[in-house]
Amino acid sequence: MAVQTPPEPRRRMAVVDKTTLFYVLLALVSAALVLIIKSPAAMTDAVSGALLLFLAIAPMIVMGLFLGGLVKAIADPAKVAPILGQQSGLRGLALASVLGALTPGGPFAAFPIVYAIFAAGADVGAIVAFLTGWSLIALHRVVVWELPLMGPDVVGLRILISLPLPVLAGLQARWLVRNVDLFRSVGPRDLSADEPRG
Amino acid sequence: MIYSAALLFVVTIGVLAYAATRSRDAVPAAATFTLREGGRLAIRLPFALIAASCLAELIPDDTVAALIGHDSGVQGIVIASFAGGLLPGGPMVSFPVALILAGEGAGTAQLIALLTGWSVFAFHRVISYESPIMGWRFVAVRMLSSLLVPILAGLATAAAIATFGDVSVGWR
Repeated sequence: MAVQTPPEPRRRMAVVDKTTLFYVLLALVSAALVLIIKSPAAMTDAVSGALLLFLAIAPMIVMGLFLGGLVKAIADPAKVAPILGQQSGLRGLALASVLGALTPGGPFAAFPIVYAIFAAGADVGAIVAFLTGWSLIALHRVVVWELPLMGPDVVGLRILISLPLPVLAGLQARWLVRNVDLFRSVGPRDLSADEPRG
Repeated sequence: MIYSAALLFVVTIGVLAYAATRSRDAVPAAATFTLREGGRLAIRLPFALIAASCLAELIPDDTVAALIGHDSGVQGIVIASFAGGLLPGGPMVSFPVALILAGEGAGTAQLIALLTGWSVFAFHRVISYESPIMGWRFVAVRMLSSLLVPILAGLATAAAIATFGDVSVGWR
């Protein structure tokens, strides 16, 4: 529980940090492009659609963050690490893939949960396997959207073929973190590392 | 989305009940975490969503269909894999698009590569959620790790079809 509490002297001061500024600029530039290339109506539609979406998903994000916070609070890093950490081997990656495939909710719920598991001691490989399993197999999405539209044959074939892929992605991620300097320090602190430190 | 929200709600309540019995500090700690991360996202996320929505508006949707037919082979699988990543929107958009593409003659292997590319690359999701929450370096590791995933899925489908015959798309 004591893990990964980033040092927080004067962190609250930075309301608009570098990452936020990046999104503000990206939003302005892309909205301007739509205005120029398409039409003012297309731009208003895109912007208002995005804001309505934000209002619709905000409760889910709060719930996802709260669930993530709970998981982080009760997960003991000394217990999570052997199961989902760097030394967890193929079994850790397979477990992470299955957990991912079973995780309900859209990205607004899944990413806060994943971030908390990351902070609780899982390694990059397990997180990549989790996210790949979640995005690729996503059982709730299969039941709600894919099966009714695409039919059982193609869905069955797709899932069967997808089964080993999250583990492969997780192995690749572990290899990258071990062998590429740039990625060696990738961790849940990345988020706070964006902040100017006081 | 109502279904997802309900399921998430039930899971959260379950974990909340368990956490409250496990540790006295768990609930306040989770509330602090929610406030801190939520406060950060409250500014970041609306702009990220506007950016994603406007970028989606700029990508032409009819150019995809011509490139990924039954006879487009490995090249079609590779194109479909990356085109899938550019498909904007959630499952309510991409499965209908895939169905339309199938009707217009997209191959099954290319179709599965497309859906797999959409699942793992999802530039839209990366901009809106993954990078604001997980950070760009994590995104880079995950992307590099997933680079071959949709292509492998497409090739495996092609091999399965060559061995066992084609499958039908939609309901017979």
